[in-house]
Amino acid sequence: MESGFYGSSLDDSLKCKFEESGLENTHKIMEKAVNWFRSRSIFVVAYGTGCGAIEMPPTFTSRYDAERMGVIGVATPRQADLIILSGYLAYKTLRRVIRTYEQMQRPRYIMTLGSCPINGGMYWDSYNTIKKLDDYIPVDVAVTGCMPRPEAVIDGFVLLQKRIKNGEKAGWEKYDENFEFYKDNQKRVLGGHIDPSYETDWYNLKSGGKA
Amino acid sequence: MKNNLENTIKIFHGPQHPGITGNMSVELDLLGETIKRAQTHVGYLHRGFEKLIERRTVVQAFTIVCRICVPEPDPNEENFARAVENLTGLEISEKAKYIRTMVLEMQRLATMFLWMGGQAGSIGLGLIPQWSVCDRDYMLDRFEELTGGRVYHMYAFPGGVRRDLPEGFLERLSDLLDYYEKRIIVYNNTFFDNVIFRKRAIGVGVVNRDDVLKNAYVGQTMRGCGIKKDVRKDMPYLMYDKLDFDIPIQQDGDVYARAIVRRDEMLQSIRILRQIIKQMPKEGEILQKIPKHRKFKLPSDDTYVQTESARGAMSYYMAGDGSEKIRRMQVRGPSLVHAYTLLEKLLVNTELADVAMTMNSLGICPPEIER
Amino acid sequence: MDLASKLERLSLELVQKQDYLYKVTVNLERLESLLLSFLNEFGYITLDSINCRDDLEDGFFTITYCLQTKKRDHIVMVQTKIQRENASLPTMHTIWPQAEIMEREMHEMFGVDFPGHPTLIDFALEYWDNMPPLRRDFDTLEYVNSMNPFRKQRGDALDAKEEMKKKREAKKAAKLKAEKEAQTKAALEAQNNPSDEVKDEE
Repeated sequence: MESGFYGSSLDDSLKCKFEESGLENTHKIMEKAVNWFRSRSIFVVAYGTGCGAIEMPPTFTSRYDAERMGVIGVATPRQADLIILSGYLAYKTLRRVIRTYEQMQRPRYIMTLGSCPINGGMYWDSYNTIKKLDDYIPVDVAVTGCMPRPEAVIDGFVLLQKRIKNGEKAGWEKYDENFEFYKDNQKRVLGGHIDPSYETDWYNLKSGGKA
Repeated sequence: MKNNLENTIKIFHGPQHPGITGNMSVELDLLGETIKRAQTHVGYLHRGFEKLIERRTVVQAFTIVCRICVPEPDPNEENFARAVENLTGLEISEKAKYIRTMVLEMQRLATMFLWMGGQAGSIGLGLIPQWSVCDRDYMLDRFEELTGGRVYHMYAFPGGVRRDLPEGFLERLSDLLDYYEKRIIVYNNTFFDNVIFRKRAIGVGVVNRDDVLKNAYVGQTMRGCGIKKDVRKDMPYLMYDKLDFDIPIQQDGDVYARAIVRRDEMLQSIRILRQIIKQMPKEGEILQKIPKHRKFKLPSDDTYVQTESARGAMSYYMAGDGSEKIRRMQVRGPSLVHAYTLLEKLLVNTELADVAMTMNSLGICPPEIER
Repeated sequence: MDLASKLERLSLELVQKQDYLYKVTVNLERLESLLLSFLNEFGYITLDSINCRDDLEDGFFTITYCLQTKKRDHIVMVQTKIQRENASLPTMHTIWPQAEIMEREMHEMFGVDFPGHPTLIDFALEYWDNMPPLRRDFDTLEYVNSMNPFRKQRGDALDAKEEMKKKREAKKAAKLKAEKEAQTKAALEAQNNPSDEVKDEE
């Protein structure tokens, strides 16, 4: 599975070139610089999966103004770095969320709002919502509350920025490494009715097929 | 019908879409830019509320009931509280009635400001959401002071309200209303009289007046067609029969008419709130003392209550069975019919760019369609 | 009320429930004709909602049609009962177009069949293969536990019931202690006071 710092196969070739020419330190410095830039320009696609969507407009408009943190909303998942899943996820939504997440380019991060994606929250005994979102897709930051206030959401952004800056291992790397674990969980709960993956031909996963 | 759909392409407007009013999707068949067929899909927010409420006692159900409609939780609380009061025969004091009326009108104003942001944002006027969402936030501050919650209040408990007014609350609310009155003039100049909004909205999404009553369209959709009906006047609840207000109407039935009705309703809400501030009794019981408060039993009977929310009449059917748990509670929100019967009809032969605008003007709120 | 006398002619009783709420109970055979006469003769042109209630113990569903006039100043509930097994109702979507979506929802949530209904497809659920979820014999907790186990606790979480019990016992003990202290204090004062009085006298 492709993984790495630049999010593409470019990474290995670049690293090799740096190592060949004896510039390992330069490579490390570049890594730090890119991490810093990346942390200051997070493009967000806000998927209103639940109640938390009501606190997204205040967060992104003039009173709380998340744009001053370098966080700005975009319309399509293909241009986004971060997807915000705001609230509980019904099974029907989870299918779309997986599809949306797999459309995003690496590096990609997930932030959830509210208690429901963590442990079910208020809907712990509902027949149509999931309890542990991090079984199905890797969650980087989970902001608790019902609903989290805009200040808490911004705090979540700051935490994510810190992590990106420090170069900590992000969720998408885990998703690539444990791809089969996540797909098995998805299949178990969604009963096999998942849209074909954008990344891997999971119908033929066991035989090693790649799309 | 089949011939019309040749050479069309299929587009899913939603569920992940910045112009949609929530987590739902509209399946569109497009011929060029023109929509030939529209089909609504919901279910992305289905939590099985009615099942959850069957498993809970009244006090437990009270905390989740406000989550049925996210942008305006208070009509839900009011409906739930009034249904339980109808079933058990609880009487609430005059002060509690006044406070509940006040909370409902505050919620109406807050919802209208959020709607204005969505309506302006859907046609590309980026400034209005920046202002109106911020103005809504000042009302949420008052809610936080009164109830402790910004969005979900859990305030109108069966038998009254949970807390008394804080000291000096009515003065601060009155100051906010002064501010809002000034702001609405600004919004009138920048948004309602905006050339872009007029050109986009006039003549789009016209609702047929003859269908309105039979098809149970409610709220601004009905009043935008010139039908003067409002649950607050026709079946007055709480203190509405003692308050003086008008029902604004428009005749055209298009997106612009609905917007103007909403603007006038905001002014009426301010008028109602000013009267409430004047008439609010100083003394009075806030919450009825119910024997065995935690487990009061509902008789085996059923009732149907209706409240005017900011988007139209919202009704609850509730039935008890002599035990502590609620046997059945069914929600009929205003957007159920709007999102299906009306939207699918309205979108045909309009342009793709008008979908978000039409949805916003109908006030569609997906979490209450599917609960 | 005018409607009451009209219904009396059909040998039906109109019950007033609340200020603006009335109820008529009718059996299934007469339901369709009654709804039609409500629409055409009595002027109740709006169908506000169709509600369904599951009475598992008695073995039937209670269906409620809520109707309103042009004035919209009161609501009449037309109530009927249908068998739970192989439940089926006449469809109303030809008369009221909004009934189509309400019936679709009822079909999904309760499994009520509507012969002649054009679109009995999924409403809110997707690929649902269990019992219709709003029937009372569907156990949501059991279903959830089989699909979604709870997250493991951190280990330092406390059991709310036991904690409440401890708190209550501690409160009781504190109350007893306070009572005892008050008693001993009173006794002490009773002992001391006469001496005080004596002192005062001196």
